[in-house]
Amino acid sequence: MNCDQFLPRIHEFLDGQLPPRDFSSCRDHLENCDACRQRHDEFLWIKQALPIQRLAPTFEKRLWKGVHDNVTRSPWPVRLWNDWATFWRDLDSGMVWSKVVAVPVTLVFFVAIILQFEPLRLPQETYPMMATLSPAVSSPTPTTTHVRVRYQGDTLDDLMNAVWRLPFEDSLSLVAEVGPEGFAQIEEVLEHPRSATLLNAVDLALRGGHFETAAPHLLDNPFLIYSFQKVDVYADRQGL
Amino acid sequence: MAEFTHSLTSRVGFQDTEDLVIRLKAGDEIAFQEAFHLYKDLVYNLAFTLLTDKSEALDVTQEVFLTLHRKVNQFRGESTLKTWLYRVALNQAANRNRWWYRRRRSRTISLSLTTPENGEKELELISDGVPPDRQMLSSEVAQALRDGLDQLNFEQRAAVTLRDVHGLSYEEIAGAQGVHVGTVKSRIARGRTRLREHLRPYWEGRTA
Repeated sequence: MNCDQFLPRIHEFLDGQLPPRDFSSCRDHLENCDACRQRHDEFLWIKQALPIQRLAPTFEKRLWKGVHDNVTRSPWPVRLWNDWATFWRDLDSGMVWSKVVAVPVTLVFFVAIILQFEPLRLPQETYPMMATLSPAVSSPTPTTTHVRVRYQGDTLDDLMNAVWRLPFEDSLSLVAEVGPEGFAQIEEVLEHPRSATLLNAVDLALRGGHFETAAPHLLDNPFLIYSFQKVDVYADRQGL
Repeated sequence: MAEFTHSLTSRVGFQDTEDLVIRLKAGDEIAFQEAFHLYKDLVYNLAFTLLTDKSEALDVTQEVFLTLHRKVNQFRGESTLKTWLYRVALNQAANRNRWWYRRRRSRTISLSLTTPENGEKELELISDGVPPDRQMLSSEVAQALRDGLDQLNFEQRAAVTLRDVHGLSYEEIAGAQGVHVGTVKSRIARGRTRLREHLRPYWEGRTA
């Protein structure tokens, strides 16, 4: 056996974990190789120098008392409380504060990034019929805010119930015209719903409801734009 | 090493650990007390070597015996009870060895290092004299050895301690650490090599 063969086995030789034949070969090599013997002696010195420590008798009694009390006397609420107290005792306050600080800093960071972008605007192409409507309706300015009408009638609740039963992704947008008699008629469906029931319900509601006009001759624009979605029913006029 | 464990075994006068396990599973409080006296020094020594903090080592020792009491029925006898306890101790010590514990330990002063007002040295370690296979070291070398151990990673420190201090076989260490024997050999070799590099000046001074 030479040094290259012995050195990979030196720890197993030290620990007596080699088969007898390998052990003899290693021992023979050690007798003839000063370098390997010195390394072996060095490892052996370290191996024998590692410390052995035992508990002092006084603390041994306390340790036993702690274990014994835990397993015999404490009811579960006390043990639960002890575990909780131990958890807080061992919790690193620096770590807690670092997390407390990190959360708002991270939130502010992300909000700052989001604010860098323009608000998402719905593209005009979503409602292709909008282009064919009169400028009073399709203009970007909310012309319908001049409408002085208020919906009267309890069918709106039925309408909203119908909307709530829609699939999440279903929606409806339409333009309705309020007639002189105070009822509305669907003028244009901008976005058809998947559910024909919804369209019928809206139609019935608009026909059956009554739109109170404060001064018909002052009605700037008789058109109303409605949009119905799963999560909301709204018009472009507050209080409508 | 064998003497380390053998002296404990003979002191308790209890040899048949299989019988001990049976009694433990039956909820025998005397058996639990015997197991405590049989293994407390082994567990404490391992925990202290791994954590290098007396109070945490004591906490780990207590937790190990509480685990023994609560979960002894989960012990299936695939290894010895001692190896099972070593495994529990390693897991407990590994949990406490997370970075924040290490970080906290580095900037706090252990209470165990202070002297109680009543003069009771409750955390002081005792020595029954240097065992025949141990060496009497100067305080400087002993400190260098502790520093060297502290520089090993947790797994290497555990493997070296279990082999060189507790005298476990490679197979027993593999069982305690939950790894293959080859991994144990590698950890022991790397750990000892790093210790050798760290202690080289003291070795050269000793042989000069």
